[in-house]
Parts: sequence; structure tokens; C-alpha cells
Amino acid sequence: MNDQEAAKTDNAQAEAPSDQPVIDPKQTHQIAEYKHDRALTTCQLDPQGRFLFTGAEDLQLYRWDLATGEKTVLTGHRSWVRSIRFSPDGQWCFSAAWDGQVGCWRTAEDTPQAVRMLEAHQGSARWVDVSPCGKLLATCGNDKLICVWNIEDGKQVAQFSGHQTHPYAVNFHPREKQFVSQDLMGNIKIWDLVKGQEVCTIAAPVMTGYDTKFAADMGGARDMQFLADGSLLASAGITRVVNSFGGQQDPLVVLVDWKARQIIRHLRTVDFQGIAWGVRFHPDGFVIGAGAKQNGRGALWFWHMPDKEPSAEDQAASAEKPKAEKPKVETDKEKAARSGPGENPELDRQPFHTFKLGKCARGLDMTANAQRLAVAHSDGFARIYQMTKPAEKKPAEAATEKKET
Amino acid sequence: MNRIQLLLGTCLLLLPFRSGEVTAAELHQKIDALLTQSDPQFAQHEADLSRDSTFLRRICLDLLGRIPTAAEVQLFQQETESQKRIQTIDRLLERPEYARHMQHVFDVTLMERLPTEKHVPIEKWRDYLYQSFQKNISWQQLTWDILSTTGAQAETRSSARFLLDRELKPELVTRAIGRVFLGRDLQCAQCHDHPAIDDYPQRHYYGLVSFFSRAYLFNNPKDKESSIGEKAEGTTKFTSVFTNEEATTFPRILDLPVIADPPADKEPYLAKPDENTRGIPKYSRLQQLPEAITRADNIAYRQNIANRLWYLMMGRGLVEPLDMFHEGNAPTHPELLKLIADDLHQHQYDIRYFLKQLALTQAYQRSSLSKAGEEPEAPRYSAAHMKPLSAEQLAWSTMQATGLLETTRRATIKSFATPKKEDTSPVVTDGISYEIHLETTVNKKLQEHVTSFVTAFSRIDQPGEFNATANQSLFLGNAPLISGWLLPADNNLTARLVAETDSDKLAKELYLCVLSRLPSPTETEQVSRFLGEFPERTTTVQELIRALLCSAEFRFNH
Amino acid sequence: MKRNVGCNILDHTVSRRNFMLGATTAAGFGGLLPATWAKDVAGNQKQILQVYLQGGVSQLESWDPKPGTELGGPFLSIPTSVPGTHISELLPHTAKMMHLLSLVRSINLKADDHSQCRLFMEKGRNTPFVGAVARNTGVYPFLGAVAAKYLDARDTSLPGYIHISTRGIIDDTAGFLEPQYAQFKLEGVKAPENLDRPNNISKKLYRARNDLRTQLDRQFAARRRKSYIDALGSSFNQASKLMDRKGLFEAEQDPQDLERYGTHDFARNCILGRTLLERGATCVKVTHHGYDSHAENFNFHLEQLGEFDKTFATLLGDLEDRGMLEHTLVMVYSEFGRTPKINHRYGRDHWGSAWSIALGGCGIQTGGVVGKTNDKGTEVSDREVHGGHLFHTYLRAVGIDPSQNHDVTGRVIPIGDPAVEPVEELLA
Repeated sequence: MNDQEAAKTDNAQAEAPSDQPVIDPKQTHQIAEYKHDRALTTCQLDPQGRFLFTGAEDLQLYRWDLATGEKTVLTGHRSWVRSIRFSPDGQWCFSAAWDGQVGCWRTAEDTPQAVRMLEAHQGSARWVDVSPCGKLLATCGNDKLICVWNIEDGKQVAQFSGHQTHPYAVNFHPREKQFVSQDLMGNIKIWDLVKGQEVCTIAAPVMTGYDTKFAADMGGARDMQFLADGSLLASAGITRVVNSFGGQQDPLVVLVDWKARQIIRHLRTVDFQGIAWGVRFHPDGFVIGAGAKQNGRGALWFWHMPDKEPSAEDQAASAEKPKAEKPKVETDKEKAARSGPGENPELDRQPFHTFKLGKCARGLDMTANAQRLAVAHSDGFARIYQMTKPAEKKPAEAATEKKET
Repeated sequence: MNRIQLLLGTCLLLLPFRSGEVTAAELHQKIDALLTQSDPQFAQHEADLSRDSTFLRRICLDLLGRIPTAAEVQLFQQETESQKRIQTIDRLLERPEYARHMQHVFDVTLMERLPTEKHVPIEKWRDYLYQSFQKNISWQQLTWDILSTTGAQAETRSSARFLLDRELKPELVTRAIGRVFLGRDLQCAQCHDHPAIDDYPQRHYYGLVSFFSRAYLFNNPKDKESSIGEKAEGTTKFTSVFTNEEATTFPRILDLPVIADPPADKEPYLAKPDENTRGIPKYSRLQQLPEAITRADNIAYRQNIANRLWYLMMGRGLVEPLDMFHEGNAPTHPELLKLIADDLHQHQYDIRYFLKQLALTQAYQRSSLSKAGEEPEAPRYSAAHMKPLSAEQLAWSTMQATGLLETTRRATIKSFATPKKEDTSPVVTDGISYEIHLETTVNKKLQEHVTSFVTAFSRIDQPGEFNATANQSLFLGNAPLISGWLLPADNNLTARLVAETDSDKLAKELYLCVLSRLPSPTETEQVSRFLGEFPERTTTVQELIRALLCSAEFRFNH
Repeated sequence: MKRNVGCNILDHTVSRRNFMLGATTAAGFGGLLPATWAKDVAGNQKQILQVYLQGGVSQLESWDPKPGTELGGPFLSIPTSVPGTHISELLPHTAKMMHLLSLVRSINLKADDHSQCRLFMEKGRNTPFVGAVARNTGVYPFLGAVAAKYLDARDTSLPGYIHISTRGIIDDTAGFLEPQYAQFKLEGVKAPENLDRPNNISKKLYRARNDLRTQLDRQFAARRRKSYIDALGSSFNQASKLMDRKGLFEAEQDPQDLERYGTHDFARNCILGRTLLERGATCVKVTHHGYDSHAENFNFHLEQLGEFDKTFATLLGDLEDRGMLEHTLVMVYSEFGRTPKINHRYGRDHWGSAWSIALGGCGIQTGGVVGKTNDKGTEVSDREVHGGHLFHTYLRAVGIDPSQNHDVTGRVIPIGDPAVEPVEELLA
């Protein structure tokens, strides 16, 4: 989150009058959905709250007017869009795609044309982020490079190499002139923008796994976000690989203490094999995750922030329990996965609430007022979920509750 | 050889036994007569009767699945009783090791070394076979057990492996039933009449399929166990891919009369199938199969098993391949096949009886040494046919030869005599039960070694073939498993030979233990020379034993 | 009249067992050929390199990309050294070597089961099997076993058919052929089991033991069935030769090779494979695991083909540089492809209906593409072939006539499925 977004959040909190809806994850409910005919790959809300942008399993970027539901197609990419970000003022939208390009778009144009398509990487461009000052882009790609670009002229200003495996995501620090990237093997690298070099690597082997049967590694950040003050980094991905080719692994969000350069939390899930595809910090002191389950469903998870965690007893009492009717017999592979590198039960936390989704979640974002979540789903729908108590329905309203296009 | 071994050898040979009387004109005599009559030149090629040591080794391998002990060989050779061969056959057929060996043989025949155990654990299935052969269950009863069980009842579930672990897939089950019970591999007739074999029309294939086409694998949601359910409706249709002719069939064994369904019942089910209930129709096509296949007019059934048992003992089938009975593949001795098949049928498919009769034939007891100067031509049965040892026979024989088997038996007997406090198994005093308990315990202890041999020799040889691979020879020659058995310990063979200073006595002990016979003077000299060539006694003795273990004489049943 | 239907089942023509001395027995690597056509392959020292991508490599992410289409996935395609032919961007190194290969893009096995399709591709027949391992009597042999039997070995001290894989299924690859033609399995660059003399005894003692065994067998053989005893003796001789070649399996690999090929298992296995071919092994198969990506298909193909691409291109280049492509058939294949439809796990599932392999080297007309799939990749649109056609093609490429018969224990069985023909356009 950059300064502007942080400011917006702070303002939102400061301005919240006493009659503002109370954020309560346990009240989460769907309030809108926008239909596309192909599975979605990612989504992002513009900072000004006007639009939702989505990528899909096609060549286009899509803009949804949140008020009217109107869909606008942004053409220019040659492959799927993987990551979308906005400039702090929301004027610009940037999209990184599997074609190796990063598209630069004016967010609110009637029919936005790509102002520029950066040939950012050899092979796929996996991620794009915008600097807090709004002048730079950071991208990573399948050429294992991290690149920094001048937004104004589209020129590359720096290139960082060092990842031995494919980096999956990059994220600017909100306050310091540094940024992070994380790769397939879980390595989180911190880069110094001024010095133009790597600062250090934080190993996160808990976020990767090697499937011995298929002889393949699985891992990589599927989403990353810094806390507004930059003190924590959240990374969403996977852990405990059992059968990665069959989708049998656990989702995981890790929290990294920025100053200590250390992982301080493993935010886990209950009875869920799949991938965590999105993560957001909520200003009210909890972390939100979104994920895709092996069986095609999904979930939103809510964990306490470390400084807001209840006592251990209260935590145990309120944490979700597995629903297995009889004791599950763990396979040798599952046992091995549970005791893999990086495992540390003391860091493990369970969600205090899980909201089940009918379809896989593949992307997550949160509105500036922190009341709503946008989720990109595998069934082609982008859905909006409100984290407050549903308004009481008047009879006339009930009939037109869901807005569809 | 020490007194304990002699005593143990005596026990093994003498307890228990029956009188070895044989009445006139028994099957074995008719067999020999037919063989002689069928070939005018038979007498010219007729080999001598095998020596006592050779016979004992052969019959132990064929009935117990292992070579005899040195003590057994010596006692047998010294025995003057004229009926000693008959008596030995009787004794061996009563031994628990006979049941164990038959378990191995029929496990491979019925399950083709299928490694999966999705539904019925391999050990339960093997135990079912072992118990069956222990009780001398007839082949007919085994057929009923295997083909009639649904796997739903605990007491009969073990025999359900044949059907269940083939997942009741028609192409697998049909082929297996055809091959194992009828001597016909009908797989080729699935899509059309067999293009080369008139006797294998498509209707034969689907006649078999029809017995279980209404059956399905039911997975019990309560205990997750699979068993066979059946619907009350369903027709078996088939189309030839070449003629496009469509036909239907009821259950039918080959060209025997069809088994039509009874008139439709308003309530056709005892238990109607749904997701929680295994379907049980009032009339089950599947339950018609055992009776249909074992009925007296199904000549294929009796000929198939007679041929397979003949192959087991003689090393050659009267029809080969064993699963290719048809007009164009006539038996080498058609009258003989009819004789033995009918006799087996008349004796209610008593396997023990039948094997005894075959063992009593001159054909079986002849030497494998042909008349001088010619390679024996097996179809005459004028000389015994050499048979490669199966993986199990090789394993048990190697453990016997090196002394591991004896060591394990002794240790087990000792543990029985002085049971540990925590041992709650009942004390067995009855002689036969004690032997069974002993054999079962020893078998369990050594099973993993047998598995190692099975892994190394996992290819199933075709009848009449012998195949050897470099990997197998590397295993026999170098495997640490066998090297471990050759380390001197517990008065095993290596230990005894290392301690033996007289090279003649050493050679004798060596040959009796490994090759089940006395050495010739030449062989005694070879042993002495080998030992004298290398200074390090223990390793030289180990390699000497290994040379014999790797030899053709050990590798084959001759 | 009996119809020659060429069904994919053994024993269509079965004659009474006819004992034939020599032809059915183990008699050293190579064995005896049926006299009728031995002369046709006399001096035929062709070799085969099989690169098996286990699990089902996606044709859309490799040989038959359809970028920008509804089901094409996110990867793009790249031009190759063959003008007009494009392959996936995931194979940039192989793309530069495409002039040494040809593609078959129109395979339809009409099945999508791992075992069934794998065996179809290996044997050229769609045979039934029991369980996960084909152990039935009378099963067809794998291509490697056929090659080991009918091609003249350049080095008889090596097994004719060697399979290098870090794991895998144990197949009865020789089928009804003699077992010395079965695959000799190497688990990666590890030496085979039991190659060491027991208890570290001296060579002299080991040799003396073998000599004694041989002598005993000679004594035993008099007036007994010689062929059995010869078979046993032969296997021990072969075992001894393998022990003598132990160094081949244990030698440190050349650092320069490792730098060019890579240091992962597949790279090392390919280096060993090339070495074995150089030393005269008839057929070498190297398996690369795994491609069965029901989930995360794109990330996994990126990783797996990333390993495959440079290594394979280097191997192919080495074979070309050494002049070995003239006598070595090269095959890159799987058991099937992957569904055009992408599932909710970003995965693709089994797809035997419209997929591709690559062939090159000896006997192959390279630089071409045979067959097509439709725009979406959902079906073959031109020149449909299956495992039987391909089997014929491999054999013809190395000079074995697939219409000839195996001759094994009296059974007369065509080597290739008589109902199909080779893909003539592929043959040089």
C-alpha cells in the first residue's frame, strides 16, 4: 500500500462517523457480481473506487464500472493478464501479462487505449507494482529478472538479477526506498533502489515444496502486500506439498517482520487443500486471505494481526476446528510435508473466521474504505463481498439485490 | 552332519506317514502304458529310472517347494524299504510345506503376480489358499469359493481377491476365467470371432461376460469396503467389428447350453441397489457361474486343470501354451489328456490324489539324462524334463542349502519350548498342528527373503522356456542378501565347512547340502583343488558354496 | 480364409508349440534372428534414443501451440529453425534445432489412461493389461526390446535396451521375446545393483568361482537339455561383462558436459544416455519426470520444459556433431497430451485424442510437420495416426521390416500391427 492509499485508509477510519457500518468479517456477504465468459485470473480496484479491473484467461484487460456494471474491454495484450496495479492517484492502470508486456492505461478513459506497452520481460511478465511516489514500476518475469521502469517515459531504469528460480511477485515498500520479490523456492529478496543491489534474502522454505513423485518444485508468491506502515510484509502462496500435480497442498500466508527480516507468522487454513491467491491487511487489525480449493470451491480467511491476537486460550477456543468426523489417517507424504523445512508450530495461526466461496478465488482486493472485497473467480465472475452486517431488505429491494451485467 | 540335524531329518521324513500301498491298474500305470504305446520308438529312448537322491530332490521341490536336507537325502538313500518312494510321496503330501508350495503355485496361476491389493490384502488371500491346500480342498471347491463369493461376508472375503482386485473389469475377468479355468485365452474374441482360431468365437467371450455383466463393484459407504453387487436386469449384447452383426447372449460356458433367466419377478430384488445398499437380486447370473463352469459336461474345465497339474509335475503341458486349447493346437498325447482329465473328474478333482498318481509314474521318475549322445526330446516323456526353479523354490532352496532355514526352524522350536511371558498364543501339543504352527511361523519369519527373490525373478516363464537375465545372475552371484547367509554363524553350512579339515568329508557335506547328492571323485578333487588355491579359508569356502548355488544343477529341477 | 485383421491382440496365429533350438533361448546379447530375414538386417547397427516425457506433456505447451486462442493458454509460440514451423516459447533451444526433427501433430490413441496409452506408444499395440503392471503371458515387447533383438549390437557387453530413469514403473518390456532384451533399468547415474563382488573378494577368487561354476555346468550338461544350460551360462557371462563395465556407470561426468547440459537429474541422465550410445548400446531410453499437470499446468510446464529444453537441444546437437544422427533414431514422446480445456486449478487433464511427438535422426525426413489439429486443438483435422502407425515408422526408420514376423516358441506374430502402415511422409 502506498502513502496515498494509507492516507485514504487513515482518513476513512478517522472520518468514520458513529453510524458507519461496523466491520465484522463474520457478517461477510456477497453484494454484487460481474459476469465474464472466461475464467478470471486477477482483479484490482482503482483507488478512487470507481472501477474494478480484471484479467482473464484471454487476451484482454477488463474494466467494470462498479456503479453501472458496464464492462469495457482494454485490448493490447497478447496473452493473459496476471497482475494489475494503479498509480496512487488512480489515474493510471498497469497490467503485467504472460506475453512479457506491461500495459500502461489511463484508468478512466471512455475507451482506454494502451498508452504504452512495455516489452518488460523475455517470457512472461509475472507482476507489476507501482512505487509509493507513483513514478516507478517494478516488474518481474520468467527471465528471472526484476526491472524498474520510469512510468513517464517507459524506460527501464534498473535491472536486478539474483533469483535462481522464477520470481512470482514484487512489491514496493511503502516508506523505504526498497522493494521485495519472491520466487518459486520461497526466497524473498530485498532490493535497494538507491544502491541498485540486493540487500538480503529471507528464506521462506515453508512456502515451497518439492513433489518427489512428479519431480517438480511448487511455490512462489501468488500475492504480496505491505502493511501501510511498512512494518510487515504478507505473502500468499502454498505450503505442505503432498501431490502438487493434483492440487494437493495447503494454502499459506506468511507475515514477515520487516525490521527483523524474519517470518513471524504462518497463517494457515483448516480442511482446505489449495492455493492462497490473495492477501490484504485490514486497518481494523486483521489479515484477509483468498484462496482456491482443489475441488473448485474457494474461501476468504480472516486472521488476527499479531498485535491483536487474543490470548492463547481464547485463540484455541475461537479457532476453527477440522470437521473430520473420524480421525483422519495421515499418509506418509502428509506427515513428511508437515515436518518439512521452515515448519514451526509456534508460528502457526488459524483463521478466526472463514467465509466459504462457491468457486475458486484467484485474486483479491479491498476497497479504500475497507468495507468491501473484490474477488476474481475461476467461473468468470468477479464478486464483491461486504464485510458488514447486511442491510435489512425492503421488499422492493429484495428483488433487485444482485446487480448483474 | 551332527546328531541334531540327523534327528531333525528323521523327524521330517518319518512323521507323519501312511502306508504306501498302491492297488493295481491305477492311473499312474495307465499313464505309463499309454506313453509307451503311443510311440513305437519309446523303448529306444527310454532313460533309466532316476537315482534315489535325484528322485528325492525332484519330489521335494515339486511337493514342498524346496530341496531336501542332507539328512533327508542320506536317510532316503540308506532306506531299504522297497516302497520308500511311495511312502515318501505320501509323507510329503501331508506336510504343511506342501500346502505352502501349492499356495505359491496357485497364487501365481490365479493372480499372475498382480501387485495391487486394493480390496483383499494379499496375505489374507494367500492364507485362504494355504488353508485350502492344508485341508486338500478340491479344485472344484476352490473354483466355487473363488467364483461364488461376493466379498460381502467376512468369512469368504479372502477368496474374493480373484474378482475384486481385477475390479470386476469385464476384459480382465473374462480373460482370467477363460485362461485359468478353461484353458482358453479368449481376449482375442472380444471384438470379433478370433480370426485364426475357429474355436474361439465372439459368443464364447460374451457367454462368459454375461455371467457378471449385471454385477458391479459396490463401495459400502459405512466401512468403505468394496464387494460385488448385482442388478436384476441387463442384457449382454455384442457386435462384431467386422461383420457389424449384432447378437445377444445369456450366460454360457463355451458351447454348452445357455443358462436362460427365469421368468421376470415383480419383486426381482432381495435388496434393491442404491448408493447405500449392495444390490442382491433374487436370481443372480453371477451365482450360476461356479456350477456352470464345473459341471460334468464341461470337458474344458477338467482338461484345463489336468493339463496344468501335469505341467507342474512333468515340466511340459500336454497342450502348450497352457491357455491355448483349440482344435489347431492339439495335445501331444490326446488319449492321455482324456485319461487324466476324466480320472481327475472321477476323483472329484482331488489335487493331492492326482499329484501322487503323477509322481508314481515312470515318466515322472525317470532320469533327465537321455540316452547317450542325444538331446532329450521332451514330448516323448522318455526322459524327465528339466524344470527351472520358480522364484519361491529358488528362495527356499537357497535358504535350505545355506542353513538359514534350519537355523530358523531350530530357533523357532526353541522359542515354542520356552515361550516368553508376553506370548499369549496357545500351546500346541498335537503333532500335526504343531508342524503347521512351526511351518507358518518359519514362513512368516523368512517371507521377506522370498519376496526379494520374487522381485529378482519376477518374470513368469512360459511353459517349455527358460529365460535368464543378467540382473538375475548378478543377484545370485553377488547379492548381499545371499552373502549374508554365507557368513559363518550358528553352525550353518559355511561354519561347518570352515571347521571341516578333511576335504573329502567337506566335499560330501557340501554336495549333500547344496546339490542333494554325494560328489563324484572328480568333483571331490575339484573341491579340494579349489580350497587349496586360496589361503583365506572362510571366503574360499563361501565362494565354493556360491559356485554350486549358481550352478545349473542347483538352478534346475532335473 | 482367415482374415488378417491385424488386431492388437497376440496369438492371432498360433501354431502348435514347435521347439526350436537356439531361437528361443538366451544366447548372449543379440540372439539369433529367424533365418528367413536375418540377411535383411545383417550389419544393421542402428540405434535408438528415446526421450520419454512421463505423464503426458501438453502439446499446447510444446509442439502444437495455439497462442491467443480460447484454449491455447498463456504461453506464446516462437519461430524455429524450420521456416513456417512454430513451437512453444517454452522450448527456445529446441526451436533452434527443429531442422533436425519432425513433428507428428495428429496422434489419436482413442484412450486417455496412463498405462494403456503408455503401452500403446511403446508396443505399437493397444493391449489389455492386468493392474498397473503388464505381466500377462504373451504380451508384446516394447520397441526397445525389439530393437535390442533385431539390430546388431555395436557392443555386446552392454544390454541392448537400457532405460535411465530416477524412478518408475517396472514393466515387462521383453514380452514374449527372450528376457535379455528386456530393459536394463538404471536408476539415474547410479550403478546397477549387485555389480560389486561379494564381501570384496579378490578378482582372482571371483574368477575362480565362475570358472568352477562353468566347469560344473559343463559336467552337468552332458546328455541334458543344452539350451537351458547355455541360457544360464550366457546370463552369467553377461553379468560378468556388466561388472567389468561398472566404471561406465560410475564414472564422474565431464564438468564441461554438466555445464552444457545442466546438473539436474535429467541432464545427468542424458549425458549417461549419450555415453551409452557412444559405447554402442542399441536402444537407450531416458525418462523425464513428470508432466501430469492436472493442476498448475503452466507453471509446471515452465519448470519441466525448462529442464528439458536446453538439455535435449544440447544432446541432439552432440549427436549431430558426432555424426550419430545418421544411425540413431531420436524420439521424444509421452503417453498422451493434455486437454485443451483448462480446469479450475489452472490444470490440463489427460488427452489422447489430438497430440504430438517429435522424431529425428536415422531414417526420418526432418524439418517437417505431419498432421494437424483444428484451431482449438480439440481434434485431429488431418492425417490421424496412432501408436501402431508410429511403431511401424520407428522400425522402418532403423531398417527393421515391421511386416516380418517375430519367431518365438512356435508363435508367429508380426512385429508391427499388420492392420496399419508406417507414416511414409516421415521416412527419409
